[in-house]
Amino acid sequence: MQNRIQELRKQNRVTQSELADAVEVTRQTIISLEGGRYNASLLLAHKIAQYFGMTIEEIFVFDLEEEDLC
Amino acid sequence: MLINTLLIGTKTAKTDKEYKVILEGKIKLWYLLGLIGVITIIIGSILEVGVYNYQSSFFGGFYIGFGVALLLVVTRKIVVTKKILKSDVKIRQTRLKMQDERRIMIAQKALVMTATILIAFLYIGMVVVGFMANVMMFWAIWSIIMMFFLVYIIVRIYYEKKL
Repeated sequence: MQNRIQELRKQNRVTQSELADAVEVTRQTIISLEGGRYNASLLLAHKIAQYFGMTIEEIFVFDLEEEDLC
Repeated sequence: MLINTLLIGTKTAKTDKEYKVILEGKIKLWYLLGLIGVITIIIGSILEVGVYNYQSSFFGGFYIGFGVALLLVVTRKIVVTKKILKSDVKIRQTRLKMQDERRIMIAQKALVMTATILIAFLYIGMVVVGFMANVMMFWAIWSIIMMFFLVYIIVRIYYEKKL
């Protein structure tokens, strides 16, 4: 699953540590999320969306082909 | 992280206050482990002093060493945990670190992988023991494998009902 976390973070001039602290995870988790190596749980996705004032769908791009659902 | 996962599982706290309670409970668990360490040392000492069989001294020395190691680990854990409990900042830092969902997932995946590899090695061991005609060793390994699957089935049924 792709996401726009890095793009939004840079747009809002937020560091990885600040975002990590706000959504209550470690900085390493933010790094893994941005690198696409880790998919956020529904709770974390919700927290991130809330932090940027957006919806989950606007941040996390759910690829039907990638998830083998089409 | 492994010991924490084994001791506390995936119990999570939403606030620092809740996490403080978990940490306080954790100290009690460390004390319990310390008690197990002391009991192990006592058993080791009994074996070391009295000669119950030709390998008493070996087992005595091993148990004493294991007990002392356990006591050292527990003491360190208690000191560190008490230090954390004194500072609100450290409580929050530890909560975020220990309850990080990625870390928990890594620990769970590592445990599953370890269990799978362990069972594979035990199976190989069971086959190798057959060539040595060591019946006692065979039953010991077989019992561990069967116990593993029995516990797995029970825990699975528990979670099927719970979740």
